[in-house]
Amino acid sequence: MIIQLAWRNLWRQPRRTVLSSLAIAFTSAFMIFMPSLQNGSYNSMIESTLRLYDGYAEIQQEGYRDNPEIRNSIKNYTAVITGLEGLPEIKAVGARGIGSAVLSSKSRSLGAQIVGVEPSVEAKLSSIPSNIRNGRFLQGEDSDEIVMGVTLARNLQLNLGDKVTLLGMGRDGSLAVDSLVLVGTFVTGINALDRLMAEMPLGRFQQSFSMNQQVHAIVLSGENISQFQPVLASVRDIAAQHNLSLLDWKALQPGLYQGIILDISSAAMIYIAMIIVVTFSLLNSLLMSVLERTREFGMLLALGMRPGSIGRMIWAETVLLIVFGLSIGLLIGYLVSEYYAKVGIHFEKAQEVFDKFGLPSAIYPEVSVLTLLVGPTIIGLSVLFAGLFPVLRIYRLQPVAAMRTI
Amino acid sequence: MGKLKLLTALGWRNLWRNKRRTFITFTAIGVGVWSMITLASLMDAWAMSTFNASISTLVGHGQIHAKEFLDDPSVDHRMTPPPAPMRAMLNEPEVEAWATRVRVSAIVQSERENAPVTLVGIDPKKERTLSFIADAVSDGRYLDSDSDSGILLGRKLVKRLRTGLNKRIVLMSQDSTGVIAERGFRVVGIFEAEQTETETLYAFVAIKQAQKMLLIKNEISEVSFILHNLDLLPVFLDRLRANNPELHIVSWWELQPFTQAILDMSSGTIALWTVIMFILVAFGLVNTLLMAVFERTREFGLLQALGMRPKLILIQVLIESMLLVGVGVVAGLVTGVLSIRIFKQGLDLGVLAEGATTFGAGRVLYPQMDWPQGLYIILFVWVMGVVISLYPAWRAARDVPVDTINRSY
Repeated sequence: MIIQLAWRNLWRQPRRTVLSSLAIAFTSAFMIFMPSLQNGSYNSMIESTLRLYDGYAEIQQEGYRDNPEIRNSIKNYTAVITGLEGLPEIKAVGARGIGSAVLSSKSRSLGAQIVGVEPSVEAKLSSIPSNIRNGRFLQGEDSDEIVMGVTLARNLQLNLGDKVTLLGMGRDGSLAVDSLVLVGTFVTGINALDRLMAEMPLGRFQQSFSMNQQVHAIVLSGENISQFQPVLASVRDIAAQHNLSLLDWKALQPGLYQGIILDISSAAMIYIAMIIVVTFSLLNSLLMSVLERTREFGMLLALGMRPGSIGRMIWAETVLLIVFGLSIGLLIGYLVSEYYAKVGIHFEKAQEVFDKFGLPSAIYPEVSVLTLLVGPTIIGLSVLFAGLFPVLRIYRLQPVAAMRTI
Repeated sequence: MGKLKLLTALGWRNLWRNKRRTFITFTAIGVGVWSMITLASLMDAWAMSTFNASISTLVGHGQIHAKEFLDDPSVDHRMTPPPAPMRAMLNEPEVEAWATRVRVSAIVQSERENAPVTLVGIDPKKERTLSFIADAVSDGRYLDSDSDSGILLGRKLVKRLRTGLNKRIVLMSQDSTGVIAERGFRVVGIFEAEQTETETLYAFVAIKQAQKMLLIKNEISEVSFILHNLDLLPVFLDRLRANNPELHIVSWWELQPFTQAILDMSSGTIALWTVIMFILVAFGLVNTLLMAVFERTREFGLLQALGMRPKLILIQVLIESMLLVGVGVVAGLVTGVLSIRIFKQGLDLGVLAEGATTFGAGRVLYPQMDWPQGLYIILFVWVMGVVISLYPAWRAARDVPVDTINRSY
């Protein structure tokens, strides 16, 4: 009966109830949409950054990350790869050798980072093979081919089919010399890659740099980054067995990870301010609806209703208001997020700039149970807490005095 | 006018008839305005930090190159040092600093490793005010003259090359005749940059040494400059372009479109946030004012029966809301200014600094009160707050006297 009374009481002031529940609905819809948007943009940022070159995780020699020297290589990498291929979540595993050298054309010489890759699996590990602007990607495990960033090729004044001379230092300190043919150029949008990187087949790389069948990194890839996370533990075990270290995406892109945390913290500040504002706004309405009914409550008390029951009734009013507002907010928040999750939010104006940093120019919000429920729950709890104040007032009422108030 | 004064006094007293409600409303408006102002200043600090970082990382406010240089930054696309007319322009008082540079791709080789870098020949004295280099040297010393025989390397590159202070390294680059020139330099200083990428990207030597190594006499790759006042930049660029049609003159936003995007995005976010926060405040405000009006229906009826014109009642309610919103807005402004002042010495992003530098900002943000923007925000909230209170005011003025006096609760 209390709930019924509370519901009717709410609609004695339809305008106020509508305004209050709209405030709740607006806030909760916002706090559903924004986190889904953040969630979606983080995932696509992580995804596109890692797909570019790093892969979802990398296994390296202990200390290679801080000291990427050609000597710091992995010896029995085929054994590690065989071990990894048994894990179902891993879609692709590939090895890479990394060195630096001077590349020379007929007229120019420039320094570059040379990466030896396995052409057959590289397409599943990085997006470079699919970002070929001219020509094609590498074919054959030890052909004399090379692909390079479009800026590097331009600065070297090279055309497809031209000879490139490579001059560097091998693993054993000997001279690494090779003559290769440019078969393709790639565009990643990342200046450091387009200007400084070249890829050649791993087999040929190992010969040229006297690698003695060794590599510098084992790169892993999966279906998508969130599905890939659970498998990391077993990968770490395998790496540890061979005294190698595993780098997950946070270690590969620490800046991106911290940038995301920073964004979450600043967003949290916004959400907290929102919740305070909406709670205080509602506190006023809640208090008011009690104060203006002082006479009525005095009468109820005089008729023998216990303060506890009146308190419960008022509490129920608050709860119903919250439930009503949150349901509308959930519905709107969910629908809007889902709509944009299908269509995506496009930034056409900024596309060029986003491309430059390898960021996707459309964001697709990702709705999850977490993004749907966390915001509204916090709002509900805050308003529920604010609802305590009017309830406490009831206990201070004296029936006779209360009935005399206007 | 006298009426207005009376109404204002009445309105002010009416506000304090219900202290609790007034305080709660103040708080809601105050927190709203506080968050708008603090957020705006943080966003601005972020944008400024990004801007300054990119300007001081060799970009400057503008650069002058040979026509093909940006497309193909090789030694072939060099230019003569600024001739007298250009020099005169660059020495004008509006220019804060300018310097010439030589910039080519090179390979730096230590005893054990080698790495590709961009070799930049600088004029140490002039570069001091122009870019980050002089302040960033953390070990050893900065270059002391334009023919210093030392080299400055980034901390990360030094580590990668496994070299150190006072050790020798060899630079290799193609000279103007197309031959690979090699030259030994002693590492005299190690610099640390906020963007770690900068530490591996650049190596700095004295400009004359670079010119000697590349066999380009006194020729240069670029001129970079900064002005005292950014607002004068477009005009200055136009004048430079008009006087030097054979050269390529670019502004910072053409060189760093990402920085420009961040600046645009930050003002967009501030505007969006102001509107969203205002909507929230508006819900509470309309509710409160409506209640304040309804509970006084009898009073308004009585006032009307005594001969007060409905128009004056409307004005009185508006004045009450002006005062209510006004005080709340000012409270928000004051707390906003105070909380910005707490971070006057800089807001250190601490463990998350690398996140900030990845997106191009600095490790420490310096939030500042932007008064025009702050005043714009509070004016917006204030005016809009009064506009939405037109509805409750109209309700108050509408009621018919006899009905309302007889109304009982």
